[in-house]
Amino acid sequence: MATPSSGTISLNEMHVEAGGSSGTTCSINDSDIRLIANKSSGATASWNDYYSRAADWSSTMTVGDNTISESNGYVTVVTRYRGYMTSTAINATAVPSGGIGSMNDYQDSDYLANAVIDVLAVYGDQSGSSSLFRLQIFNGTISNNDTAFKSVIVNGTTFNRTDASFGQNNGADRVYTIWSWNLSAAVPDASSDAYAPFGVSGASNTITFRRSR
Amino acid sequence: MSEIKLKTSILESVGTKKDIDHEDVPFNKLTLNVVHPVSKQEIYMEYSKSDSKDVLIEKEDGVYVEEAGVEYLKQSWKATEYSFFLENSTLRHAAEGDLGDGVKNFAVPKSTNTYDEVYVNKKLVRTDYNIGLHQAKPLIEEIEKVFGKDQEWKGNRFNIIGTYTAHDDAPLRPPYTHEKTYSWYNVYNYPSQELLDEFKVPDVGYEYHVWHSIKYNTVTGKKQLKLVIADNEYTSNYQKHPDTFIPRPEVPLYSAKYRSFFFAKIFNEDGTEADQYDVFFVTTKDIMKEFCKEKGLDFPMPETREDDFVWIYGLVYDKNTLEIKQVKGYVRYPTEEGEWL
Repeated sequence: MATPSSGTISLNEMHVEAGGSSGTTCSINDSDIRLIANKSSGATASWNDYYSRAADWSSTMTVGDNTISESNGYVTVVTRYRGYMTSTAINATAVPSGGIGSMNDYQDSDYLANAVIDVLAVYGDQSGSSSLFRLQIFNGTISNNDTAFKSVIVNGTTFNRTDASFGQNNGADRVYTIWSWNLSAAVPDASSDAYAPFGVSGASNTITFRRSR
Repeated sequence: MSEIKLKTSILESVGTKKDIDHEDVPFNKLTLNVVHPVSKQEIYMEYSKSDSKDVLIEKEDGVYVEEAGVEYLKQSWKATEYSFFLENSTLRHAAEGDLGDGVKNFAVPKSTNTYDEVYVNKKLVRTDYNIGLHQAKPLIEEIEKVFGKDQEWKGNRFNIIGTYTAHDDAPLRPPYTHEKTYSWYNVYNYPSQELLDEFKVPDVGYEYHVWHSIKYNTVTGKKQLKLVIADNEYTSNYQKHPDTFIPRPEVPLYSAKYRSFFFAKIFNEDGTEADQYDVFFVTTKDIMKEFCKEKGLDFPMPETREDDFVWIYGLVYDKNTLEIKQVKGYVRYPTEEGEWL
């Protein structure tokens, strides 16, 4: 449960959100409490800096991989997808049959308006050198601000929300909101080759969403 | 150029919104409300910090954008979305035997029961049949009357054969001179060195696409070879690669999708090159119509066909003057008439 967005806020609320036990001893300069507001040790902080803060949310992905054949008339290419994609038909995103990958947790009440993650995957045309990394959720009205998330770390690579293009459609059959980051990287020909930011197909990668940094 | 002062409302067609980056630095974003070119659904978009910085003009009294710049962004997005729609409509993974030697990572049509119609100035000027359709058989027979069994016509089940129709207001495209010219497309195969040698094509290092065509003029008994060339650094950068640069006329906004923009050259048997080049691209009906209107060109599609599956447009142009000779639109149709292979 994130800290309040306004009004009264107590040190205990900050401590609990940071992962501490309610009613236990703590100080505003404890590292876990500073972390949720992204404050360095001894830094000046106001109570307002602790509004709408939340502890990081981590989940584990079993990385999936598949391809889709596509065509522009006579011109055809194969697009490789790596990461997680639900098997549910999704507007605005082609999905390999049956979806790819899985996660041990698809939603969190403090992130992405508690919406279900439909896509967290990278994809690009094989033999091409550019890719898109996409986060897509089952929600068509969420605001694009730090309450959704500020950054997400995928297998050690950080993606800042404000570096992404953002789109949403609240009139689609399955409403969606998408964050997309452009990547410059070779697209592998095989599932056994790493495809940044993910490792090889079948690998276990940690995904961490953050609101403070 | 005119500038628009942006309002901070997500309901505006073009607007701006404040945000804070990962270093807690405030900035302004560009926001757009657009209509998807295929689904017609409304989509709300916010640009990233860096992309917004490229187009927003920050002034003391507010945030502005160049009207033309925003229109470019909108149209470019629509063209690319349209190409995604085309891509996701018709193909499957290649099976063994679908692709020629050295061709990999290509998909093939789900069905060979298709034919293409090509329109110029609202007139049907060419029909391309899959080699397996019964309509292909008499066309092959016409070629064989003059040229014999010149090729393995059915060497690939996705091969295509086409026939032309000329009209007073949509004549045969140059350099073709007779309606009784037939185009045989060898699909999912790179042009062999033997074929390139036969037409004395100079080796300048072009990246050829995986299909090419031989044009059989059954009146003159002459053949021509049409090669399809990818647009890349060697064809687009005159300063660095003047020998391989392909001059091109102004074209409309087209899909940014990889490989959706390419050229074709036609070679005679003596190695000479036709003066007319083709350039092909994927774009939307609206963008193409606007381009034709601006340039005084004839939009190719008749009204009854313009919302059909137009999968690519092409321009025939003079390589020396860059004058556009024809605007072509290619439409693909399914058929239930069955195969004869």
